[in-house]
Amino acid sequence: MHLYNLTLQRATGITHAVHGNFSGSKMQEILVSRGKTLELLRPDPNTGKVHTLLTMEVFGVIRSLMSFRLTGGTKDYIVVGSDSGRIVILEYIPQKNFFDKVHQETFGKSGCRRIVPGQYLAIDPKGRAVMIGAIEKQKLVYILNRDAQARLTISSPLEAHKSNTLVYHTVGVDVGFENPMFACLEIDYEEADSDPTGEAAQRTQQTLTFYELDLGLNHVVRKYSEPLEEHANFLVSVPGGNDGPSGVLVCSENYLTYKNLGDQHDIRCPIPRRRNDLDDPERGMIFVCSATHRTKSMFFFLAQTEQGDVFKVTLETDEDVVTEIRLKYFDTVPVASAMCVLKTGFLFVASEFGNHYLYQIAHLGDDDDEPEFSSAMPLEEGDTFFFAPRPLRNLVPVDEMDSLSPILACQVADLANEDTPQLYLLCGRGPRSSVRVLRHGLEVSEMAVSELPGNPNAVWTVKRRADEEYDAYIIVSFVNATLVLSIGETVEEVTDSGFLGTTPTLCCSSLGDDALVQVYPDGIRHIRADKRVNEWKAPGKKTIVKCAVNQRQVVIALTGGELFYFVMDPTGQLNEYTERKEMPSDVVCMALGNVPTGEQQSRFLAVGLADNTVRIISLDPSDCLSPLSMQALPAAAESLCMVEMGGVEGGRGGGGGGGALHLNIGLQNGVLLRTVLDPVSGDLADTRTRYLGSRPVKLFRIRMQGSDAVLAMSSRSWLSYYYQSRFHLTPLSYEALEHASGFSSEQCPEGIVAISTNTLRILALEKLGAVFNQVSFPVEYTPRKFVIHPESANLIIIEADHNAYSEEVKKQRRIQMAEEMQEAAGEEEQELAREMAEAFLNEDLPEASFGAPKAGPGQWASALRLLNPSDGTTLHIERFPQNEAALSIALCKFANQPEGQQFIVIGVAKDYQLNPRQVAGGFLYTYKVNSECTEITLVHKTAVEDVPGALCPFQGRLLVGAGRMLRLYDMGKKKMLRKCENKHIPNLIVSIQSMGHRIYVSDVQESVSLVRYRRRENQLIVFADDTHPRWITTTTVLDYGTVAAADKFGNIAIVRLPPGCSDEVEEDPTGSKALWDRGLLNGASQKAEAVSCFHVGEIVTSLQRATLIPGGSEALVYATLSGSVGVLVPFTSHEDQDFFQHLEMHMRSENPPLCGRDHLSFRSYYYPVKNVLDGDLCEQFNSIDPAKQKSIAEDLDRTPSEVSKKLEDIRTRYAF
Amino acid sequence: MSFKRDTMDTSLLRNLKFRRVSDILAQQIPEDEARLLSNGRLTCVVCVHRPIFDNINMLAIHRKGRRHIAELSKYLLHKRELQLKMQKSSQLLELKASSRKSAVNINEMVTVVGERDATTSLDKGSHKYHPLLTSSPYSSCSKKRKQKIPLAMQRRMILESPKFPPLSSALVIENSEASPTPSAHSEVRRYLKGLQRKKPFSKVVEKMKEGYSLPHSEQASSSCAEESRDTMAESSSGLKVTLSGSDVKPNQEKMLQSALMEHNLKLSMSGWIWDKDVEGGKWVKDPNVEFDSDEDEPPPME
Repeated sequence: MHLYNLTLQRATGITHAVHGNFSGSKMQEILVSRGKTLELLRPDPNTGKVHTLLTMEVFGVIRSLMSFRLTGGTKDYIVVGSDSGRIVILEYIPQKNFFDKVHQETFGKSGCRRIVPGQYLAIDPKGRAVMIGAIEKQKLVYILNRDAQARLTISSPLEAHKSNTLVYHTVGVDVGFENPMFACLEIDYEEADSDPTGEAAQRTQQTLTFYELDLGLNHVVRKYSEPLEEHANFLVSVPGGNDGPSGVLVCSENYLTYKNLGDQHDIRCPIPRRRNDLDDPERGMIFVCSATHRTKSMFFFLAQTEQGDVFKVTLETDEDVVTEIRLKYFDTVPVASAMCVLKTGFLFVASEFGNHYLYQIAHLGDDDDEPEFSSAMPLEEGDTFFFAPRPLRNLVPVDEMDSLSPILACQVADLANEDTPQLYLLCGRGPRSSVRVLRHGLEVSEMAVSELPGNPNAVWTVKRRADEEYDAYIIVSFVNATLVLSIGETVEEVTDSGFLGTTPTLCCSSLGDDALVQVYPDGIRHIRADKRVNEWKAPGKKTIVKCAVNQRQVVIALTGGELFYFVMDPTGQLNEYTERKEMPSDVVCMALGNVPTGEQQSRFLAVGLADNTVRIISLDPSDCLSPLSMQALPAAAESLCMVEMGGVEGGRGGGGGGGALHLNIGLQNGVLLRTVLDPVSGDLADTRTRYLGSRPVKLFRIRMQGSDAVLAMSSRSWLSYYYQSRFHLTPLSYEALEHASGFSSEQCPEGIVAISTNTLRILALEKLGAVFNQVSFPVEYTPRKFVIHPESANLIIIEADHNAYSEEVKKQRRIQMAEEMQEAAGEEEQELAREMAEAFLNEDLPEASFGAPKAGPGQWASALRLLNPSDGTTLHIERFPQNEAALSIALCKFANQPEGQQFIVIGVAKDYQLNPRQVAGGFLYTYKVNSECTEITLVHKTAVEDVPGALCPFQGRLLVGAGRMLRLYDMGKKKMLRKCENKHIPNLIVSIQSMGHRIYVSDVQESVSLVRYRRRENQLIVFADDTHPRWITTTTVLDYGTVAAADKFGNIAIVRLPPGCSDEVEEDPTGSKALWDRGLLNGASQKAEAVSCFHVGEIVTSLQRATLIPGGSEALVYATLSGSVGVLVPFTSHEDQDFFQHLEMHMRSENPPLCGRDHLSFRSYYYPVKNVLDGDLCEQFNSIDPAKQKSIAEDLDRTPSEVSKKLEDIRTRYAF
Repeated sequence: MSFKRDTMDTSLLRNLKFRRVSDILAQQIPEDEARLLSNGRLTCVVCVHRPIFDNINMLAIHRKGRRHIAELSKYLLHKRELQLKMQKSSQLLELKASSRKSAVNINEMVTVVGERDATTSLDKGSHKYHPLLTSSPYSSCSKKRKQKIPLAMQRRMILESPKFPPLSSALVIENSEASPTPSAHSEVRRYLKGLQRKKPFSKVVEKMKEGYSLPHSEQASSSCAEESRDTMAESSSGLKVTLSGSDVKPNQEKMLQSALMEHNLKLSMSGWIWDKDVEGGKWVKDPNVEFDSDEDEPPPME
């Protein structure tokens, strides 16, 4: 079995984010790392929308990311610390839209190792040096400089190693133009390591160490080291030189401390806590991330606690000596992995889990009634400040970027009865978690819908002048009339536009600089800017049937297949060409390309004829109306559209440029063909085919993000566009449309006006490049697993949160705290205390934005939810008592129960401690579910001794993985009855699947065992297992002898029983040992073989065999913790496999990954990659240099377009 | 709605004819080595991976293949083991039955041990396993007998009971007469030679084809019963006496038997154990299995 890996949705979680002027313009961009991809985002300061400029897979683990700017430069560079054992400096080239690897220096082994640098990066704020550090011992400093050509240079590394030292954080200290200095949080474990009593380990203190790079001596010295009182977790560099006092802020448990070299005293301020928090008051509070904002005159920090509260931190100075730290509660936002404050006044919050946000900083929080805490305020040791969290006041959310991370479970099913299946995902963590439904398609935002007097046939928009930015009129054609609407503040009908209203319109457009043209069945109406009208009438009784118009040319076809050609002369007059062209059969459609910039006319006319052909006719003055080429079609053409696509996209305002001319042909059988039109000979080549729907395909040219795109309408509407070096053809998640045109107005600069039955709609497409359109429904706790109730298509979800209180306990605690409040108050404060207690009881801070109180380790809250996925309504919710963790779910029917009666069984662990794993027992809750799946009733509760981690219905009974025991339960009257047991699974059963008589049991660290149930002996017998220790997260059965398994290191493996393997084995074939005294190491006698292995690079949480498109073939769909969705596609022919194998090989050598990790070794991280080809690498073929493309294609005996067609084919055959 | 034919009728007929002829000409396939599936396709029962074939012809081709032959040797080995096991258990049963008998008239037995007639001891086959004697007492006569009594004779008596197809017994006899472990190759060869004696599979197919008018469930249940027969042969052995004793019609008997087997399987799956030590056998609870508290007796057969 050979497989091809395709990513459908890239990872959406963000691990690092830095900002800077990477393109060298005034625009600020944000560079984010999503684990193994780098993505450059640009927030539009006008609209507040975040656009993606570039996404680049690096095939390595990005462990740290920093930006820096050389002194006096205007452009920021990027330093990447990865698992490649190399330091990589990247530069963004905006012209070509790619990252250029400026430097790549090797310093160590690859892989995420303890003593190989890459984990920490620190930059000298003046951009003179970079320190790259490992978790232990090693630190290297590189000096950055310029050469004579002003190119960035990098020195050889200077070592700052110190053995037996662990590092927590490093930061570059701002010292102006003195010698660069780096501050590190370290711990020296040498003494603790050699002391067997463990006393030294208790005594060991964390230190703050300063390393100085002596630029004169070209040497790094450990300048100063100071033990810290509290254990710190991170450092913030304070502006220095002319801008501030320099030094660092040390963020530690409960305290924020300012430290600096010299005679500066430590300034220490406690971290404020929420007033009346349900959290354990003994629990320490830490800052988890920060952002610095600095201008010429001031600076401040935004620091976020682990509850999500953001504080504004300012420093009071007296002649460059800090005297006071001031903290002020700013706002509460989701807990972030990184925050960036932009110069334009935006705050970018890359959430740890769930959606990311862009906020506008509306106020700096300087003049409000919020109390300000200061280090100068006297407080007793151990006491702290309190504040009251409140809804956002200083921040205004402006954009939200969907993030699926973490995906905990995924199932592909068509529950909504659309032809294309949907993806149902459980996402998020804690109170911000959600159930999401993903559909393939672009999200459409409906800007306006208005009803029309009748059912229109067609719609166009025209500009009054060619140089105007926005459209002036919407023209709607009916069966016997034409309606003209003018676009302004509102859209209203006008009659003075010059258009003929008493006839249907075939086409209209703006012509030349300021004229308009209307083609109607009896003639052509040319409306000049001064409202003079020239009319051309169709000769005799003939009428115009089809026409094609661009800015300067008009071509019409009369009944009988006669073509007339008009072209505009320099005076603005529309002149008929002297000759006419008789076509051999009826014209069914025509298209003209746009007039290329700098030219007078489009050179080609495409005509679709009733004889199933498309002909290209020259409009060049030298051979006007002479046929150039012809293409036979499988069915009659319905519509044609000629656009220039490809080349550099995002050429905002500019006319694309550099792209190839494509002729799109919509056929009457619902197929869309896209062919490349040769700009010289007019030949058609490189045809791509895609079935769009059951209705004939109509095509419309629109503009999307500054370049041309094609809107194709069949039974579903599709958008064909070029985005990030790839052609996309994506359906719109919207109802069927009939006719459309581009639309541009002040409110909606890039929209679509479309008609559907008797309504006119204005639509906008904002999330270009997105594969999925998602609907999200919030849930209470982290959703763990779900099953689909097949009859009602409802979802049955179990949710469980560690470190959380259940609703009931929360309520109890609240009441208890209110009582304490009243008791604590003195005599005269009684009244006030009662009021406060009441306010506290009524206080309602939504947990989704303020977080849930943390109950401490070993505390669990869980629930069972019945959810209707079409509208997101919760039909029923069943809460479990505090400290019961719902871990597994199964929907099953029992053989000894009435037929058709379904039961939900939930595996619940009681007092479950995660590390070390301890449990006080478990339960199986059995619920009866009604046929509509709206109500459940508890039948009974069965106690089990261990964690019931997996459940699976099996032959009218239930298989339960309780700890390491595999058991078969039957339905009893008062409880579930244990009928059979196998104790030979090594550690903990995490998943059970079954097919026929076989059971596939996965162990948490020992891969999959295959078990056979022997009915006659009532025994479960392990007859085969795997040879590799895989730490399974999820498995799926591919066929009777093949299982796909994913592990927690990010690998997917497919294991298969060798042929001739039999499950008819006795429990002990040797006969020398009894069933019960076999050792743990004594595995099964038969071993499965690994058929394929692949390192995805993200933890896969769900695997499923499914078809994603109607009529497509089955593929293995996986979803990962980082929020990506991908498929592994089987090759059907050896030729394909051979081709992609070679392409992958060439790509590996021609296009080495960006962060310096070798692609082959990345994909073979834990097990050598076997029989899986990396489509993500192959698809980078489309974005590499054309010369390289050509040389690779030549080696494969093909042309570059053939290669990219192959790439597109394999993608569209299985997915999108 | 009408059906559109896209081929010529004549070619269809020719195809059918060709198929029919090739079916007839196909190699002799014994009935128990292939199975007709509900969708009309065929599968080879000898091969563990159960390959699926569209027609007998393809099956016949498969049966000549190297892979099938390899599987066949394994299949035979397995079958022989099964037979052996069956023999062992039946022997054990016989022994137990006789030892119980002997326990009844123990006094009498003790007195006649030394001077018993050889023929009677042969018939009972129990004289040297007397319950009170740990080993058989020396007797030149009995030792000789021991060598002479062919175990196969006992087996044959059991094997030739109507429950088992005659041919397998023939095979066992051959085995017992030949060297204890014949080489796999020779065994396969011998087996292949003996194939002609088996009931041909094509007849089964014919019968099924005739039975297409029958309701599906009936067919299914009969085939299901057939299937469960071999798996349940052993556990039902305790009950077969009563069945064969009653004179019900063969078809009805078959159905009754299969229902009984189903029932027994159900019981053993839910944790009941057939205790052979008790006289006449009895269902007892497996101590490691949980039951509803009111279940003292196994549920009766419906």
